[in-house]
Amino acid sequence: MLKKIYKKIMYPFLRVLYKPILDEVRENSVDKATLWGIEMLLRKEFMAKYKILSPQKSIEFLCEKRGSFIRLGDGDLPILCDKGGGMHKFSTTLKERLMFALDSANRLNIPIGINVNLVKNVALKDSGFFYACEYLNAYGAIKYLPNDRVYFDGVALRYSPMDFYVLDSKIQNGGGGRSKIAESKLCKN
Amino acid sequence: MGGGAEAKSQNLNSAKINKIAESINPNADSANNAKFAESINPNADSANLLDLAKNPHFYFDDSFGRRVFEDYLEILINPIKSLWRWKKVVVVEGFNSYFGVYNDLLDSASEVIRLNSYPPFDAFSKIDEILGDVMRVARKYEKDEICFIVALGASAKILCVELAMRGYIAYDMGNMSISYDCIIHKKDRKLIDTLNLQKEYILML
Repeated sequence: MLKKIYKKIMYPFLRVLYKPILDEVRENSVDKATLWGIEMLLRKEFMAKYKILSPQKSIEFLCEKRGSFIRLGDGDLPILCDKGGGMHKFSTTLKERLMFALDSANRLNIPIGINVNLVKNVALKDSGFFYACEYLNAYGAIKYLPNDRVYFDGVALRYSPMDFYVLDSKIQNGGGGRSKIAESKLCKN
Repeated sequence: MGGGAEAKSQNLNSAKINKIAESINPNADSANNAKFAESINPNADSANLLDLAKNPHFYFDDSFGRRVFEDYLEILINPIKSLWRWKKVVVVEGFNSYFGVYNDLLDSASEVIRLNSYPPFDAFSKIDEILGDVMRVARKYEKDEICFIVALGASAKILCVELAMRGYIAYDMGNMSISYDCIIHKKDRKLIDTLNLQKEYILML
């Protein structure tokens, strides 16, 4: 409640105050190649200690096992680090139940899927870099997963080749922040 | 006469290819467009090329797109469909979700039972009620002949584990159907969300 009041009162002033800084950040937002570099670094930082099957091996594994499985997605990880995510409000009971479920899954040997993409959504947001930092916080939540077991790749069940293609075409056709900036620069010139 | 007709058709083709070049790169000037148009295969069927260039999404006519789609079916969809072959599938989802409604994911199942009267946002507030409903359906069948597909975000993990602890098989794969829909209907994810053309369901409760 206090947060909401603070936001309503302070945000209009903060928006004006921070406008030059935000504009500068937007103008210097990262390009695709840099994003890929960040992605690789983050994977090395967060995912190196986890054993994750490749998408194809994941499907083969799940079909051979023919048992229950769960997938930790981009909506669940924020909940583990005290934020609302996906289609759920954050609550401590939800977090506790989710952690209990993860613990039970580990004990029962139920396969768990992890999304290995870390900075994919950056290009969809205008203030991409801040979004990336938020996302990183969320990925701090994977500390709750033990690293002595094998996980499957959740991306295979989350996205199709079409998603990646549409995302790419969106960036190329002005959906991403960077191309909009490029357009605005062209207009100014 | 024949030569004149050919020249006309060539002019038309070049005009069409110019249009394609403009649609692909609207900022370039006309001279560059002409060069770009020449770089596109001039012998290609211009009508098809125009259709392809207008479509900003996935090209099913393109051999590359077809190959990707075939591989997608072969590697992911068909093996996943085999998980519930000849089984009764209980789909637990929010009322805005349409798992397997617009596609053939659940065709291999012997029967599909939908429990889809739950809130699409914050389903965790009704998790006990959902679990009660699910168990009421589950008790009617043997554990071997039934499986669950849960599409409820974070609540799905909790439900799947609860069901697995009771000896049932439950899959948490909420986004899979919509990803498949995107590729079948050649639509963006948001558009698929708003399609909602088929609203006929089998409600058991």
